[in-house]
Amino acid sequence: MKPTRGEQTFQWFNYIFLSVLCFSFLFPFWRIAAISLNEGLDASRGGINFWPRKFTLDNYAAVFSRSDIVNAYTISICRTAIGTLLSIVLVSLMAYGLSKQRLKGRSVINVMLILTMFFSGGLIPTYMLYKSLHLLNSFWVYVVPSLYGAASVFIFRSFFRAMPQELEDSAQLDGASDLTIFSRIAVPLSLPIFATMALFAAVGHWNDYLTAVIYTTNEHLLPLQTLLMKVMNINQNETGTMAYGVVNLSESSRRTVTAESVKMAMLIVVVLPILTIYPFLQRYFVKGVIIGSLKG
Amino acid sequence: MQSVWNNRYLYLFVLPGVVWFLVFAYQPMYGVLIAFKDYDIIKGVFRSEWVGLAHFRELFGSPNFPVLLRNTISISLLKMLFGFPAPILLALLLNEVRSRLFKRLAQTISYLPFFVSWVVITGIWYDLFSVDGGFINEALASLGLIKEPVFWFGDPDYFWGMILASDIWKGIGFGTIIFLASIASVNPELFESAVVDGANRWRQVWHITLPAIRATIILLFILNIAHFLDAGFEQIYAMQNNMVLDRAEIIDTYVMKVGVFRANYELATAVGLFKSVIGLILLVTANFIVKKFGEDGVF
Repeated sequence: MKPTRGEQTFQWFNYIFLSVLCFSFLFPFWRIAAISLNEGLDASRGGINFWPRKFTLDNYAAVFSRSDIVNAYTISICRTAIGTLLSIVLVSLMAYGLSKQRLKGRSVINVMLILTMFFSGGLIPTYMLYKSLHLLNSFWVYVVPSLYGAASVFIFRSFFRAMPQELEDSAQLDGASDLTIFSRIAVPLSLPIFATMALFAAVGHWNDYLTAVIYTTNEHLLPLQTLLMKVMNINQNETGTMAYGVVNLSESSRRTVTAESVKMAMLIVVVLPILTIYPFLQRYFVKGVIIGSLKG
Repeated sequence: MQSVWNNRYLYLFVLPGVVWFLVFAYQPMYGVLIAFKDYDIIKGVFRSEWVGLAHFRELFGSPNFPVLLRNTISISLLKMLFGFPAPILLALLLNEVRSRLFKRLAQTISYLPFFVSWVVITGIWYDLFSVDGGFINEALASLGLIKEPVFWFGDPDYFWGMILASDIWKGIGFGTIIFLASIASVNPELFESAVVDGANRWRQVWHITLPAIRATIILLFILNIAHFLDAGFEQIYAMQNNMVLDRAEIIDTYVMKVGVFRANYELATAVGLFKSVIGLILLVTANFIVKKFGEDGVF
């Protein structure tokens, strides 16, 4: 059937609208990247939107010459790696256990998990709990409280439930324990869901800035996002501005690097790891979102 | 006992999780009691003196409370009215795209802001909307739409709009995933027979696509309502500044400042509890109404 005139016009408008929308998603990042690759003093004259005028890597050198940024980068990488790994292992084990009818008390645990999706003690009782557990001003406040989540347990569980039962039965006949079945059969068969959940956990860790704002006062424990926030001095309710000490730079570049240009370089440094990874995992997280929403 | 021993690994798999949920999810629920107590660190939650509703009276009598409530509700309502339907609309538009390549590319690009933290997005938006030399102000000026640069993030009148716009910008692409999936699961024969009946694209969307994704829409709507008073803690704390605080302070940011930064635990807990109770009432009400209309609820 031939499209009518009205439909053709709509098609054109649709393509134009979606292109403009995509431009609005890409351009802000592109512009920041262009400014970050331009000499700071020159950039402060304005007008850099698409391409650097005076190309330089000095801003990035300045970013990595700051010991607090390097420290925050290390914290962010460590918490993302350790937090994601531990969380995925523990959550998938729990979900695997809950997916088996042989486990008694399943329904009680089930209700226990569902309730946490709708009720929580709130910020202050949580804060007091962390205090009594000595999690305040500790690296582990980034890892332990986000180990489990009811939603991720359910997503994993629905994946394990859909696995063919015969595989497990035959392995059991061969005398394999649940641990062996889990690691040799269940995990290899569910790699897509592991990839999805790992991506979400890692993004959550990498992007989290509030945990540090609430639960630490130790400057050496700040992750990249929280440090970035302090550097940008976005929220002026926070006390103090960070001094812009740029050390270890040659005399010439120190003259052209500005606070603004370092900020832009830092923004790029913070987003780059995620932006280079997510397009390749698209297939998986789309699937993961769909499974997750079906389970509700 | 034999069966427990045979399944010992399964129990070991689950045990750490059960302990974790008891400690990290259920212990704080018990800690909520201090909203009704005069908390004494030495005595602990259990043995501190009861003070009844004193903290709630203090809260409701405080001049901050109406402001907090107004900001939280307004921002949440805006997000619900405009932010919630936005991904549905985008999904419908993407669904009309014929070119596979264009569609995939557009989807990938639209997911981008979802993966970026609120701190970074705040940095990017503050820069784009900056009052001196920001791209938006310059573009609007060169189009002749404004004479003076607008102080987008410093003017209280624009703050809610900026919060709404950045929230939609961040989440719209990712939000389409779920709707596109349920559109894709519609039986293609329905469309074919609609075409035979002479229905144009618009009528097909109205009579086939939208009803097909109605269950998904309702489910997500109810889940959203349960978190109505959240309003977006991470986003708003990152984006607020002293110039707009009168419009930007929401319940969650207030709880953090009063409770954590000023150590007024009881009052902050009372605020948090108030929020949870309202959230629960909203959830149950929405679920009830939806069931009344013959749809599937959450419970």
